[in-house]
Amino acid sequence: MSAIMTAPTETSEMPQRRRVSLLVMLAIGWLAALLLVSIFADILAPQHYTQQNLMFRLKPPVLWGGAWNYPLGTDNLGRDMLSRIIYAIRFSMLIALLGTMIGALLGTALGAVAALARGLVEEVIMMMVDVQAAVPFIVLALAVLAFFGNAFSLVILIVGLDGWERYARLTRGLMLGAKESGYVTAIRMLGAGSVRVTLVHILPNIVSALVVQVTLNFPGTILLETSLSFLGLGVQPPLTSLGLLLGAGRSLLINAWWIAVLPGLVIVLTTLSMSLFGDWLRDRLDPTLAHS
Amino acid sequence: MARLILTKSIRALLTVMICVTFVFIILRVAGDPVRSLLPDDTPPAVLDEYRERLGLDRPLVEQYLNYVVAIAQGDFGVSFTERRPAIEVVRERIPATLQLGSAAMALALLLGLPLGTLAAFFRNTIIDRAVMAAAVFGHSVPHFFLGIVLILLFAMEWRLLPSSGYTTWQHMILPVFTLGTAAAGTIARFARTSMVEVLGQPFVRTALGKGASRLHVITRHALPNAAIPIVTVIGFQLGGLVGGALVTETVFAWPGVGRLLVTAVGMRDLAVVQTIVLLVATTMVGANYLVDIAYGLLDPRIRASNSAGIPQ
Repeated sequence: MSAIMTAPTETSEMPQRRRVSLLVMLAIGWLAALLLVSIFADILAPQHYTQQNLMFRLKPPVLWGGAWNYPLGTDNLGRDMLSRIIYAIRFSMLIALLGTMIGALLGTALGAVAALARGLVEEVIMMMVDVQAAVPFIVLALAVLAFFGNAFSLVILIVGLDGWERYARLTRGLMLGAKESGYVTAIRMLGAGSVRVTLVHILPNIVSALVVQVTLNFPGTILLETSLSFLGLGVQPPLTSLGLLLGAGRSLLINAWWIAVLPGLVIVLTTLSMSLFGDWLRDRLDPTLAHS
Repeated sequence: MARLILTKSIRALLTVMICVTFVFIILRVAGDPVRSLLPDDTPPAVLDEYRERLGLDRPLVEQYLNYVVAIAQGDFGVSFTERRPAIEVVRERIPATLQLGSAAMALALLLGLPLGTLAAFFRNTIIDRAVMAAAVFGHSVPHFFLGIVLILLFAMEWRLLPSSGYTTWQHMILPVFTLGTAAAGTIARFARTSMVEVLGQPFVRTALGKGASRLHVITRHALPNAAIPIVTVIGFQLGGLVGGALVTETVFAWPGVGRLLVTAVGMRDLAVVQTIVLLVATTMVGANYLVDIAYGLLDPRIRASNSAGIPQ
């Protein structure tokens, strides 16, 4: 899943930019809709996501013979799937957003420290980057969850740690490049200190590359959370997440395919949209990244 | 070449050491192992005796060294659910995972390389667009969802293939497809990009100008030059395969290491968890090491220069 971020795509080779734009518009529309759904979940959801109605268990969606009061059907406890998916979107988006922020801040800070300090500090940080890049993160995540239990805050933290090494590597590279550039030399000659140069002058210049990295990392973050929750080791009931819904629907596939398939479709559309959006943003904001 | 191998070997060893240290720290931070082994109302004297027996009363440095020595000797502790050495429990599961993983990788290569090359050769045509759309879709679909959809269609709806188990070759089809698809998409993308780059080079035009056939130019001139980024991405995909195997094995009840890890985490069987983490870490570091060495073999320029010349 990390491949999306590392795949080199050459700007000039993108077949038919205009048609891609239409796809990108759809992708942005879907992401905006998800954001709105997450914010207004309380208003949009017809019921609370734990509300049970044992009279209406395993009802199919409307198009497959269900009733209009449960447009996406119900699960084995008669809970409204539409409401459950709306709240699951909120939880999954919240975890992905917080996790992405943690990874971006931590990685950027460590990358900046490596570029500023050089020497042994840089060696140690880059060694950690190599370790993180070498071992599949989900294995480490599972180990930490095994040892410390799966509290909600720990799940967010773990999801956040995924991908920090990419920000660190990118920030360090960009900052080392910037330190050699004319504008930094000029500011230094005016007497600015390292910290000031880094925060006030270099950071604004590399922030667009970092933003692109955030969008490219986001699908991986969603996939990590949903995978962990699917395995029953991430978000725990009564809280919910798209992965948890899908995992719960797995044992009911024979009777009620929609419980697993609908949240799955939401996940696929989201990661697909974010990949399209990220690729587009990379081409727009930062052509130099295309070959990094 | 000797220098390259030496620096790469040292780096690989250091990386494994960091992983071992990481697991040791987590084990110690996670709490007193004696308390989780024994009931809550155990008298303090018994607790102390156990601590002494397990070496937990020693200084931390000594504990760490003992731990490293034990790991090096293949002693990973005892699985408390199975009441036998964790390494044995894990070892039994390795063949199933290797079988699944290698078949998935073979599928990914057999699909990804030709399709990526095809897309590069017919750049900006309908073939290119179709292949790339399939590739993007392939790596956006999570393993667990693809697996479930496949089970739903092939096992439940059409009753063509078994949904879980490990006995016949039919049992392999769905898991291998589930695990291989995402990797195939990524490999196709990379193969296309590096082939497009190579096909634009003067030596390809020269070869075509000399009258060499297209197939000959692709296989003899273009592919060897496009090989480095492709080998890199195959190395990357191994990590993805390990992560994907966790999920795929769980979905299809495949008796491999991935499913063992998931159940061990659920049961808090720490000896098994640490064995698998260290096994995976060592395997991945080893694979990256081999990829780095393969660079040297594939590209004489890297062989000649020192390790700084290796593209990351």
